[in-house]
Parts: sequence; C-alpha cells; structure tokens
Amino acid sequence: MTVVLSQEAISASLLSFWKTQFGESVTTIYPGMKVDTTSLTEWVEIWVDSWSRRPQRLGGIPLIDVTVSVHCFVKAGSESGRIQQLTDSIRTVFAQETIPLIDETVSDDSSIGFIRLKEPETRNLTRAQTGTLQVALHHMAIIVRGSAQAETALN
Amino acid sequence: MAVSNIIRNLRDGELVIKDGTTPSALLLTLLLDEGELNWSQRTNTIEIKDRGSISDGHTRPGDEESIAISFTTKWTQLIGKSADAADPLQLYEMLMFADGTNVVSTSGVGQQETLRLEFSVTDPAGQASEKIIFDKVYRESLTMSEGDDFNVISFRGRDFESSPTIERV
Repeated sequence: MTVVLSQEAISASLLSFWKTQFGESVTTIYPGMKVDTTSLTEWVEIWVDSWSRRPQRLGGIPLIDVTVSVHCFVKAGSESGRIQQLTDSIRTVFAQETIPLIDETVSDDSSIGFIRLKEPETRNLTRAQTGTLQVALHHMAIIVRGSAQAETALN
Repeated sequence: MAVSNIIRNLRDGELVIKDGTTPSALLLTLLLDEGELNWSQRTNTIEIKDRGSISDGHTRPGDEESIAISFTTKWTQLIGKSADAADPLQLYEMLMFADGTNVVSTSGVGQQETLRLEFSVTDPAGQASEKIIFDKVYRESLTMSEGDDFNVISFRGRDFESSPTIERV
C-alpha cells in the first residue's frame, strides 16, 4: 500500500521541469556538471537542497518536504538590470507550480504523484570584491519550498 | 503472548472508520490524518460527606459519562461516492451520512447516527499490537479549515459508551 518516493524521482522531475520551462538562453549548471565560467557573462546553477519527511503514520501516504535552490550569476559589465530580469524569469518558472512526479525507472510516463511548490523566496547574495568596494559578480538566490506527495488510490 | 515496553507513537497508529452495514461494513482508512487522535474517559463519583467530614462520609458511583473523542486529518476530496457511485468513499461524506453513500448508523433506528472508529496501535516489537474500538461515535462538530501547507478537517464527537473495547491483534 505504501509508495516509496525516491529522491531520484523528485530531483529528476523538478530538474526536467526546469529544463522545459526556463525560457532564457542562459547556461544552466545542473548538479554534478563542471563548467568553466571564464567565458560566460551569466549562468544559473540549480539543485534540489533537501528532502524531509514529516512525522507521519507508518501506513500513511508519504509526504516529503522539498526545497529547490536556483542561484543566478551575472558578471559586472553586463547591461544594468540584467540580474533582476533573470531573477524574475527564474521566479516565474517555479512559483506556485504543481509538477507531475515521474518515476523514470518505469517504462510508462504516468505520474506517481505531484510536487506542489509554494512562493519563491529571493535573496541578494551579491558581495563586493575583497579589498575594493566594487562588485565583480552579481549573485541572486531563489529558493522555493514545496512538498511531494505520492498519488495513491484510496480504498 | 508477551508484552513489549517499547513506546508507541503516532507512527504506530491507524484509524479506520466503519459503519453499521451487515454483513460487511463500509470501511474507510484514514491515510492523511495528523496523528492527533485524542480521547478521554471520565468517571463521575458522588461524594457524601457527613457534616463536612470525609472520614465519616462515603462515595457512590455517579452518572456514567460517554467518551469525548477528537481527531484531525488533512482534507483532500470532500465527496466521492455521493457524487459518482464509481468513486471511492470520502471521509467528509461518510461522517455526514451523505445521500448516495449508503452509510448505515451503528445505532438503532430513531437514534442519533453513529459510526464505529477502530484505532489500531502496532507494537514496534511485533509482540502485542492492540485495537481500540469506539462503537457508537456521534459527531458534535466538524471544523474545516484551510492552510498554507494543507487543508484540515477537525472532528469532535462522543462515543456513547463509558469505555472503549480494547483487544489484542
């Protein structure tokens, strides 16, 4: 009766949703990728931070709290306001979305549940370079929390 | 059968609601409940003091009192079977004895509509699991509320018995 929600299914569903929905032509660095950013003026890094189960009945429908973090970077010297523009595009991808949870180890594409995301939290993590008061790199972090739930037919 | 001293907590519980249909009752297992099932059994005693003195006084059993019971569960679908006979029975429509659900009371004709609540507590050591049965639970209030994470139904009622039946499973 209990369905196990794998971290793999949750991460894969979130990251492939990002891939199809993020409209900007900006390089996305996924977890495990190694990219030399010397030639890039802007890029985005995405990862799924946490998966936590709440206290629940042993026989209950599994609910997992999930956090996705997207960090975007724009080098100084690009058009002003570019960091804000990029941040806004990122926020609209995940805000209040319901994402189907697909288990890619199974051959059919049917969803095994859903991930419900809440409102994104945006933080400005831009810091001046050491020794100067100048900013070399603009850095914004967008954090979205939500919960993943298995879809089980009730008796 | 031995007993175990391993503590039980909300993870070991399961609440099932049954109706009075014979031979086989309609059954609903709560899969999203909060693990806050709460019941209290009270005993009334008449104390008679002789001119204010306890040592010269005596006691008599007072009125029996029914059990106060409450639980909270996350709310998903409110109606299922009452909207479409092919859909599964949902908690709200069962508690409300909605038309189309064929839910039958566990009390006699003409009495308040009641349901049977069976609360199982599994022994983590696998030795002596128990089932607590509340046979005649009537609804006092259903509070429905929304939430940031999930919506919630809070049930508050009474079981028209002085104590539940507890059996080994």
